[in-house]
Amino acid sequence: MERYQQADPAAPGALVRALTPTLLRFFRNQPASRAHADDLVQETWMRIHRVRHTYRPGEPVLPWVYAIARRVRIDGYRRKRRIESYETAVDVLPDCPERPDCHHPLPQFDALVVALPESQREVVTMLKVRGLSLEEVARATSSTVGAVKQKAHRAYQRLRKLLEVSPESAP
Amino acid sequence: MDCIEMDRILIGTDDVEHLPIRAKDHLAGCQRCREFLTMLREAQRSETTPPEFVQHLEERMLEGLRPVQPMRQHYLFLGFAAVVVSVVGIAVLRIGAFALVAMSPFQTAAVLCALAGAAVLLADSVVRQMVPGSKHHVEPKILPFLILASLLILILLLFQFHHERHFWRNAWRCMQPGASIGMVAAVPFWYLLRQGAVLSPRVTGVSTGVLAGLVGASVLEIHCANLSAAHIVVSHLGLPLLGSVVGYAIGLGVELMERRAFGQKRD
Repeated sequence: MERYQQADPAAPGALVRALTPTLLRFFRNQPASRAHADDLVQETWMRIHRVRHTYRPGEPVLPWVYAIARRVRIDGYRRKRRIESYETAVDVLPDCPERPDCHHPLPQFDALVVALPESQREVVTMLKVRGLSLEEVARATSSTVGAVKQKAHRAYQRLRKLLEVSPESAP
Repeated sequence: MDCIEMDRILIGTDDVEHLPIRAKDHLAGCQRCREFLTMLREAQRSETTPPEFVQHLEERMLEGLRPVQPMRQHYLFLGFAAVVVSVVGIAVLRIGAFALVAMSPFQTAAVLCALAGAAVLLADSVVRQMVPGSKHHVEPKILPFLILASLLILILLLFQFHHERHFWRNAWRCMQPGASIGMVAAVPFWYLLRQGAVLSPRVTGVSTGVLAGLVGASVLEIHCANLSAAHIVVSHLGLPLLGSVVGYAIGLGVELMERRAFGQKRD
């Protein structure tokens, strides 16, 4: 990241290759941003590029990146909701007509996490998908470690209940 | 050990190798926890990214890549502090410090220390909000209201209620210069905010609005010799509250503009 701030031409590539897969997963875990995950990843990198001077050398990179990604997701979600409110439903359309993988069942974690409230889903995704620490999640969400712990604990309780009733866990 | 305690451990780590022995023992005997752990670990699989997508991103980021100077948080904090001190100082010099004569030394010390402390906490919070991924000791959306509530309690403890004949007229007369001073402080605050990356304009707008309102309230606390608790609460503390509303509205406007720009880019 520091080399990126110093305009080392090799730095953007290294950053993009290291972080894009997890950013994609972060957006695909959220039902509201799943369909536009590629666009959102692109927008995240453009914002990172614009505000790269706000990264402080020596500080952890991941909370900084995820804080920006989180904002992009919120903006994308609100915009999508606004557009949907103007749209008129004319017929029942298939969910994703062209994609060959759309009728495959989601992996278990993704399928269960969708049922969580937004704030809990975000915390669990950051903790488990990218393996951020509690402190890093707190930084990325402008929150405190205590609040993150509480959300994660509630999310786990809910996930356990959902896991018990999910058909895949049935004997 | 029960499953709830197991959850607390799993929030920190789901690597079986790093689990404490009692957690491993519980895991060996609990089918539910084993299934839960498997599900959590499944989350870590990585997403495949098409190489041409990565290539495209790299190319876009290399366009116009120039060195940047990392932002210095301390300088920004000093910038906010300098604005607060200079605006309060100049305003008090111009309109006078009559309240310092009317208040007891204890009241003066308590009120000024509380206002200074509140301004420091808010300026620090605003600066942290300008740097993504900063550590917050108190959530930024709660802090302004905690500060306002604390100041309200302090005023109610320090001052007494007196009957006033023209309460609203006096309050309005007092608020007008206070609001103008707050607006004067808000202009350099806006310039300072533009140096960072504000991710939640509404939350930052509220914090900055309360800070600008506190500048006005501080001047009134030093200037206004009306020591009735009701007057101080309404016309002096009303300023940071008003500032929070204005800050929220400005933040909302900024958010809407950013969202529109984001949408246009995507379309």
